[in-house]
Amino acid sequence: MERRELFRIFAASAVAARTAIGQHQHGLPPAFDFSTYRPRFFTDAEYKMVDRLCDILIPSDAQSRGSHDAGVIYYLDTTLHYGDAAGQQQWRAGLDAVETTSQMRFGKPFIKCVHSQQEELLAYMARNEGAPTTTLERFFVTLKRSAVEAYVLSDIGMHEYLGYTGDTSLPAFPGCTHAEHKR
Amino acid sequence: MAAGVFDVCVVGSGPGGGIATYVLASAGLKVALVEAGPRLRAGFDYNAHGSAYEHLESRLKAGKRGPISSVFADYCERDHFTPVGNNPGHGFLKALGGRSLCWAGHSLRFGPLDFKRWPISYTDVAPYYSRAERFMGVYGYKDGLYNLPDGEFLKPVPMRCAEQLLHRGIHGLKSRGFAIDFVAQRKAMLTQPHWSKRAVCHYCGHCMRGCEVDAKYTSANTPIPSALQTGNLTLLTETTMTRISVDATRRRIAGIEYVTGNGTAGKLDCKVLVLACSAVETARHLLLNKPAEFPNGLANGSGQVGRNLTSHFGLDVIGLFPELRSRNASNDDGTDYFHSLITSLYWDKPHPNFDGSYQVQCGSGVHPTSLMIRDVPGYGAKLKRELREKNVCHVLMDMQGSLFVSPKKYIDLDPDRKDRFGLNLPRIHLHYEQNDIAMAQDMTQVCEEIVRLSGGEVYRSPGTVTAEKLNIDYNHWVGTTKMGLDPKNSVVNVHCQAHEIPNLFIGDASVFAANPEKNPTLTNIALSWRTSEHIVEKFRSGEV
Repeated sequence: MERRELFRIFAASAVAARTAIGQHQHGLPPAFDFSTYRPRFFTDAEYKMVDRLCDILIPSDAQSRGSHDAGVIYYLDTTLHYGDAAGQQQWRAGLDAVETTSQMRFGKPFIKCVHSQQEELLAYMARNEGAPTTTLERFFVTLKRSAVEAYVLSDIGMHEYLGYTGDTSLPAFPGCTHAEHKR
Repeated sequence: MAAGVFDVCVVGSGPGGGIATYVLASAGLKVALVEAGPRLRAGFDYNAHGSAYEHLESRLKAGKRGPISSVFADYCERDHFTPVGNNPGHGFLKALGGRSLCWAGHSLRFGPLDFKRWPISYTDVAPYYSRAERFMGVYGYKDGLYNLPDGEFLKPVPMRCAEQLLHRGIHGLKSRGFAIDFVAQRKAMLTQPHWSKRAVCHYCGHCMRGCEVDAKYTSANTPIPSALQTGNLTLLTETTMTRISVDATRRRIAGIEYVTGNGTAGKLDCKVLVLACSAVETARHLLLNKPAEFPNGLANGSGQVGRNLTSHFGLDVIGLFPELRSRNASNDDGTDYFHSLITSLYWDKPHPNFDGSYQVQCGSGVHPTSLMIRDVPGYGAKLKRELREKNVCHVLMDMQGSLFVSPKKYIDLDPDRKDRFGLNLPRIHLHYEQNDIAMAQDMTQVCEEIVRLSGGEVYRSPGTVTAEKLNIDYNHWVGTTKMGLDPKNSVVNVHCQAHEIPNLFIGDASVFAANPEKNPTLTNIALSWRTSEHIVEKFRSGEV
């Protein structure tokens, strides 16, 4: 099935899935609209930077759209906006480290770099993922963990990427129905 | 509030308090149930369904944690105790129903061997297990294991694919003479119509976030409404007990003092007091109240209140089954994560390196709101591919070990920190010991072997176990008002009646004389039922 057609089905089912408050119903949730969202924690430049970084981390492919389409940046900005000061400070330090590195390597801000430069910078951030030692490397771990959480909770992440059709009502739970697993 | 003296005051509306209230009120006694938290509306005050992104803004703006409603995360107390040692926790859900609102529903009978160190036997408790299971609605298979006795079950819920594959490994160990079994879980959820007329489960998997259709048993959806229907129950919510009043002359409980949610102070008198505040809070309240007649705290002549603290603890092993990579993982929800259980370990023949036993609850499947594997290295296409694949084909094995009882594990009062009512907070002392570490090391090795024998790969394992790697189950604390025959080394007798105060009873799991590997709630409910019937008999005989 084409991704666009899938998206149209999600949007159409938004009306069918809308429920009265407090009633218990199931069905595919409406696709969340964040197109008019304005950032509250990130600056405009940071918003674009983090959006781009997340989209490199979790890109679109033939099976499912990536972070940008999923609205991961909205999730991150909202979470940080309401987050505690320590977490906000950690992010600010990480974003500064990205900008500093971009200036050092490419002589310009991250959002002015071409895609190949942005991908090169992310690869540099990720090089010690298993044992980060610098602010930049630690920020990669934080950024990736946050992006993964935000992505799998998004409508695109859950339904397109994971193929999840749960959070619904079943008359019975079938469990494992495979004879070969019972041998 | 009704004037006069109540027959019984029950404090705490969790699993034990709820059932005590029902049994006592149904027998015609005038009961006051005092609960510090509010009454929550299933489906309105907690409802985990729907889009995380749609709820994110409103939830965070309201000061809640994360985008998904969770009755525990949204209503639990914070900064309400002092931890000492190896990161003890204290789950305190302040709402009508207590932690029965957020429990997973696991309902396992203790077996005959589990009562070895108790002054009562399985035979004494068995009738109450049956009553509890029928009352609650518990599903399960009849497995025929002598020390995990079968109950009165509703239609069972099967395992998922990855859990099913573990049978191969279990069979492999059994063929070597290792004593082990693997069964599907037993849970207090309705899988068929029930006398309570609660909704039948629809397998959405949000059980521990709060069941908004009440398919899962809670104190708030079954015993308390039933008790209210008798007309014998006065329910006081958002009412915090601040003091227990003692009749000094007769060395008996006279009643309690309390403060309501709007700050109004009050008191009520009762002929019998049942404390069911949880092992931590019941011990705390007994220690807080030190009239001249009880200088060490109420019912604490033995010095055992707060002692004998135990729980379950453990760590996880994760396996992967490559043969499951391309399976249909569209809906693995079920009845929350753990659908199966490794059991029968060291029942008959103790391990040479540790005392006690453990069980291993196993779960699998893709659950986006609680994805088990998140830290896959790399990014881009590789991350997407492996993140999905690993979650599709994983199985997680979570140890529940019986925490070693010792003088290093106990509850006392923090001399410096108090709550908003001026009452000292509890202090929980947890120090893992060699017994605990040796048990966890064995679990690690056994589970790794099971995964390999099942045809899987070990994806994550703790390796060499240290105290820092262990996790406590902070919802399973038991033992702090230990049951025993000798008042010198126990707090309550075989009817959970305080040795020193004849009209004080304990209705929660603080009475546990020993803690096997099995989840405590069904036994808590059965014992509270038994205690309550004993109280009824005392009234009927004129003893009270």
